Amino acid sequence: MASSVPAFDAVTCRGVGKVWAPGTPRAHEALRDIDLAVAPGEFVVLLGPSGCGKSTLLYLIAGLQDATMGELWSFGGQVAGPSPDRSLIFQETSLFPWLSVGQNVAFGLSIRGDMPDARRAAAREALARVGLAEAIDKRPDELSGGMRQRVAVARALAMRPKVLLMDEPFAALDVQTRSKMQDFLLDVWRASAASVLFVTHHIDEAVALADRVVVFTSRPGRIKAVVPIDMPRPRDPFSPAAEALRRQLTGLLQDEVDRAFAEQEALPA
Amino acid sequence: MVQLMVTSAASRPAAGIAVAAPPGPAPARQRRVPVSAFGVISVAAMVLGWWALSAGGAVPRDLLPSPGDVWAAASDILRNGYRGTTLWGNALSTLGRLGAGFGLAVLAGVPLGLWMGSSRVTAAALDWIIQFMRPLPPLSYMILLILWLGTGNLSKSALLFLTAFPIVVAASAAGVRGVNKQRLQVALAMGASPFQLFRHVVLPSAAPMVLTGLQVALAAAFSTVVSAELLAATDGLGWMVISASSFLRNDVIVLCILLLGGLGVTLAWMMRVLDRRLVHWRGRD
Amino acid sequence: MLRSLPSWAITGLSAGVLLALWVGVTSGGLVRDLFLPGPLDLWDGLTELVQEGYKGRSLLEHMGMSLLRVGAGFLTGAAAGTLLGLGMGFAPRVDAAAAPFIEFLRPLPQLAYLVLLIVWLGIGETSKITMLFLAALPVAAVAARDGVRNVPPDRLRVARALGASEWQVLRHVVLPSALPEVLIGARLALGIVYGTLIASEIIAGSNGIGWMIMDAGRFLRSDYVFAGIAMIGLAGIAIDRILVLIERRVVHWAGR
Ligand SMILES: Nc1ncnc2c1ncn2[C@@H]1O[C@H](COP(=O)(O)OP(=O)(O)OP(=O)(O)O)[C@@H](O)[C@H]1O
Ligand SMILES: [Mg+2]
Repeated sequence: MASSVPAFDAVTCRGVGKVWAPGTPRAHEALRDIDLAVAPGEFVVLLGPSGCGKSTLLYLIAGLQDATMGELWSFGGQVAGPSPDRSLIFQETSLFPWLSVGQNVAFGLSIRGDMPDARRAAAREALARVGLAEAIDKRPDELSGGMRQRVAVARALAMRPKVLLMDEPFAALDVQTRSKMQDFLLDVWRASAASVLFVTHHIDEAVALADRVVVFTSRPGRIKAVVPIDMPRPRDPFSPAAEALRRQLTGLLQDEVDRAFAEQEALPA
Repeated sequence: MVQLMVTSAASRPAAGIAVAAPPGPAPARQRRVPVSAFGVISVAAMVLGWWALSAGGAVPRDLLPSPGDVWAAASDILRNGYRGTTLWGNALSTLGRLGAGFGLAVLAGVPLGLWMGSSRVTAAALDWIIQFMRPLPPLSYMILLILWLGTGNLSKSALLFLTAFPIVVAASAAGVRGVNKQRLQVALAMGASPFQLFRHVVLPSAAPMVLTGLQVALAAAFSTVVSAELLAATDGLGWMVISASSFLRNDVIVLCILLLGGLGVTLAWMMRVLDRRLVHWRGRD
Repeated sequence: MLRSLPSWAITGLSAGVLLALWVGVTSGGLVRDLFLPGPLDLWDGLTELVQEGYKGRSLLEHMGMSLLRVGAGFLTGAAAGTLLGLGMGFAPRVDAAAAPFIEFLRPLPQLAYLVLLIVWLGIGETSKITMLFLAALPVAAVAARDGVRNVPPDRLRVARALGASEWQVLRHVVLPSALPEVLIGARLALGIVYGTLIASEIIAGSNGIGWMIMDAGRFLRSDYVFAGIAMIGLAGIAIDRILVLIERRVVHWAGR
């Protein structure tokens, strides 16, 4: 049994491993030996080559999948399924086109069984926090890509989660919109006091956002390095410190990407 | 195949792609004769040509009845009926059979398709039967159905059921299989129960596909009901056609064809309205 | 328990159960041969049909005649419909003029106008093939029209910006872009033509595979009826497959 219950961490992974389709010929090890503790209010960025299991780790923490090894904890309780405390945000807009923006934001509340009035008030408040109060009665297809992603953030915030799990949420956006969204996310994060686990492929994004960057190895994903960033925000992306960080992270990542590609080429066609 | 019907079912009003961009004076010409006028002109020309051919005597009247003859037949049948039946009675029996067979296919086919789409075991157990039924021309069952159930209404409704059922099932199952994974994950992560997941995510995601399937199935069933009535019936618009042909009443045949065409257009239009009502988010993904 | 089985095993299991039911119901005498022949009776009927033919014609001849009609009606109807549809896609006026007829013809039950065509053209091949022509035409036309309309406007702009003449835009951009939809429409039309032909042979035929099952039904030869339906189904799948193969060949770029 666990020696002590990690009561104060937002998320704790202890020796977590995940094998997809275990015991079958298609068995596939995605994660191995993940030890990670995320403090309340901390912003952690996960960085790693494609296919190394970053999304898988978020699914495990969200409780959408069961780990095949190890234990996951969140605020003193073991993760045993989805919880409104931990909200997930995806890359592509996963908004529901058959609902209005307001109904989308209130979706989780209606699942929970909240009354319509309370739902609408909460939706309005969450939308106000992402600067889209006006859009409450619009349809998702009437919004731009960046606005839609903000609605997705509002949908997650409406549940008042303690942990935000974000899987490449800004990957589909253009550079300018993305940088706006990063500033906006930092504001929202500070106001909500939630912890964030944020997956990205962009080193710039990691440097702009993270308290800590966790770099993964290629398959099966293990933690290769943890790089703390204690630069004050707002951060100057052109400062020498940022430059050095970028160089360091690029070096860490490049090895793994090279290795992942070499492995793929070695596979029989 | 189903997809195509979407584009055609939702075909927009005339808006060509203007390959030959009209230079200079063209816009002025277009303003003089609006595009929609060409539709009116062509329909008018068709009716006029028909009238000239038949009433002018170029074609024997008993081969090609004139518009006037058809009109006369219509008012006669409306007043005196046709061989002991009325026009509305016949139209109603055709629609009644269609409604019974198609309605049953929807009631049974949509749930089964949704179930097949969400359960691998059910799909593996039943999909091969659906796939075998789909390319079979429905009227080929008719002989067996007559053998089993006789020539009454039961065999015809069963035939229409068998026509629509595989189409509805296949479309519903495809709709569920196409549900966006991330939408499911989002709802799951918010703690949706299996029922809530189905009700709030799977069902609305599959609805456009299901509705498309219903449109295709209704069109197929409409075509089949008339064939079945031609083969074995004592009433219905199909029966009227075949009866009129044996009495050489071409005016009645033409009347029935016009009616059937109008009915087909109306049914398709109603389905499109229903579609727009029910799945207003179609194509907005 | 079923959940742990692979899909093919479940399919096999379900087919096995159905077969067992069939054998049980027929050999147990629960259902008369007339209503449902057993698997062995059906096999006998099928071999008899293959070896001796039906009413003076071999099975292949009946099948061949049906498929010839399908081919003639489909090729002419799909060709004419495609040309008309392309015209409708290019020119709004052609579209406005033709659309009322296309929209009327498309949902109209084909067998209803067959009766009129028989009055005009006699009961021979001409009336049947004309009906099939009219069945394929609106389906192909609508597909071609939508194909032309759905050409991405950017593709046209790029071609024009590269200095293509209108004819070149048509030949090198519009037609290849519309081709996938044209072929999907052709496949749909072929299915409709096939179903319509079988129905017309059942109702007003004197040979062909559809007529064969009708005639066998009249003589209560349900083994022939079943065998015939199986043949019709298999032929239906086969001609659909052929069109899919052509589709893959011709529009290899439409593989998404
Ligand atoms: N549902 C699943 N079933 C089986 N294997 C899966 C499943 N989801 C992911 N995998 C496998 O697990 C491994 C890790 O996938 P994951 O999606 O977590 O990677 P990732 O790091 O998020 O990649 P990317 O950066 O490309 O999004 C991959 O090899 C993938 O093929
Ligand atoms: Mg991922």
